[in-house]
Amino acid sequence: MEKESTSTPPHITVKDLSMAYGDFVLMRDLNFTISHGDRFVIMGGSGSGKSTLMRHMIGLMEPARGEIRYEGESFTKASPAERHRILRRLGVMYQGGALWSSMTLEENIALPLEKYSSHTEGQIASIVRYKLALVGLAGFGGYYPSEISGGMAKRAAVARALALEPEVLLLDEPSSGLDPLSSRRLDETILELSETLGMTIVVVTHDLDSIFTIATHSVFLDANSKTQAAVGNPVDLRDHARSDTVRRFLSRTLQNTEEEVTS
Amino acid sequence: MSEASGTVHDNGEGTPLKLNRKAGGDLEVHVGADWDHVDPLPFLEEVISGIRESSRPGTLTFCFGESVSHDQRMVPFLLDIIRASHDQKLEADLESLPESVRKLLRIALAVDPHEPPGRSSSNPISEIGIKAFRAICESRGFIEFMGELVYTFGRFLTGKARFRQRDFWAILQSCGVEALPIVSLIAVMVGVILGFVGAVQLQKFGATIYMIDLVGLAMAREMGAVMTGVILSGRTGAAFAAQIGTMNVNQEIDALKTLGISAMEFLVLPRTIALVLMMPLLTLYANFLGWMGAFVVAIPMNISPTEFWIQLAEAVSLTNIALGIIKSFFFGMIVAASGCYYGLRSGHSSAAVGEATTRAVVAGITWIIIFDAVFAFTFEIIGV
Repeated sequence: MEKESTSTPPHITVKDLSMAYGDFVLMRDLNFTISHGDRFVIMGGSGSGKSTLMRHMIGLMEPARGEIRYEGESFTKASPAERHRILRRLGVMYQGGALWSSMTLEENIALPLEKYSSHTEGQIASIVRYKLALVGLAGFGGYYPSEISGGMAKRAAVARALALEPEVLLLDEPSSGLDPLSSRRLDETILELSETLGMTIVVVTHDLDSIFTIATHSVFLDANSKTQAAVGNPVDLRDHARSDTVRRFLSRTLQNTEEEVTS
Repeated sequence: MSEASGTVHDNGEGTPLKLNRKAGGDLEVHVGADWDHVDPLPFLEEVISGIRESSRPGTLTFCFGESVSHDQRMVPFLLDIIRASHDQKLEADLESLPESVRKLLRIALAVDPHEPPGRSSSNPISEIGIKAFRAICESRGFIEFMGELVYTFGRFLTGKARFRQRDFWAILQSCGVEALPIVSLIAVMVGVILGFVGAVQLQKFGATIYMIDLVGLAMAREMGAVMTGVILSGRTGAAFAAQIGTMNVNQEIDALKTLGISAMEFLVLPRTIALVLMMPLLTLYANFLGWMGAFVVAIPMNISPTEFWIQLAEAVSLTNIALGIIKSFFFGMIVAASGCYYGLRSGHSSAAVGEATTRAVVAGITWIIIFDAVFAFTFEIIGV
């Protein structure tokens, strides 16, 4: 699983990570690495701590133990300024989109640019139009988040995450709450963007279609054992994972005993 | 559903549920015909306590009287009985149950009930300790917030902190101009009430004219600033808390944080500046309208308009007005800070946003009153 001694450090390393809310331990001993250009999926059942793991990766929560490294550099132990520098290389799409509701889509995407780039107003406007076009929302810049559909809000959130040309794009449940077609389209968009822009992508999801469409690599969080049950390519895991839970999750089958109960 | 059979089955002895002890540790629950006519709860409790008393392992079987209706209303009681028997390591024999009931029970029994982790003991002393500890944590949080606000204010003054101009103007409008109608109404009414009550009392001494001094000073020194503060706390403070709380629920604050944009600069600072600017202006406006209210009362009391204005100008010095204005700066700060503070620390649910709003208004009004008392005391000491 771990290749620490290679010449270039992996893009993201999660080492001995334990996550807890106060005394309640959610997950312990998480160990995995994400290489440059990987499309990495964090999967697991509801309540297994997938989104919490992502919140740890972007510094919204502090690990109870262990650390997270970007390009071999510790994010967990970094000073606020260093953290800030690492965070600027990440783009995050939150579960519901989390667009700032008092601003139009244009303004949402422009805000990070105004804050961190030295572009002029006109340049920013054209970058914003380009980012919106990338996610298929050309022409929607003047709309407020409340005026567009959930799927569009998620796309707009992807555009905002892309604003600063991130090296890592993190997406929290991109397909949740979307109809099968919209979620498929969003998956395709993510796939295309990652292939063209060469970003590392981290996706939190439990949607099997998304997992098999997007992922090249994955980790499975098991709520029962409170640790990772498997790491690897989802297709391999479905067929060859040692853990019964992982195989059943990925092939969407219940245990025999459970079937008997509902018969 | 059930055929109402009035006859009581002999073995049931007229009870809907009955526990029969058998050889060994075995138990039998007898379900009588009229279990759905009589309230079965007392009998259920009896059966369960009977099961709890049994100490030997064995099996629990069910036996039905004749013409017992097997409908689904029976399942909850049977489930309680089976759970109790499981606790006593008794094996419940579901085969003796009718099929439809058995299926439902199987589904219900498939997953063991979740045992919530033991809550800390409800010892009153530890409760007090926990409450006190929370209060300390909370006040610490507020002090940190105020510290950060002052720091951000400093950054703003040195030109380092920035926020969106458009947001600022929108907030300025909503807490300034749009608050005028309600401030007008309340201020005029306060002026009228004070004027009327004062005039009626002073009339007895033939000193009706001093009602102008009374209203003039009361509005300028106290009521103008306090009433405006209370109104804006309910109007604008609540709006701030609800807005920021909802942003918290939607992860919009998280999105700001990961972009390295300080919520303090981006959300709290423009709101605080807007209120600190608007509160004194609104107070001045409220003062004037309060006096107008008194003027309305003065006319029927045979005080001429000229008399009124001369008396008012004599009674209310610029210092008195300034005292109210000084207070209103602080009240603006209090209202904005409590609204933003409770909004930012709101939980992630709609109920939490409601609670945050309530707390923001209560805290806002409480601190306004406390500060007002402190100011009254201070002004008294320095003699202004």
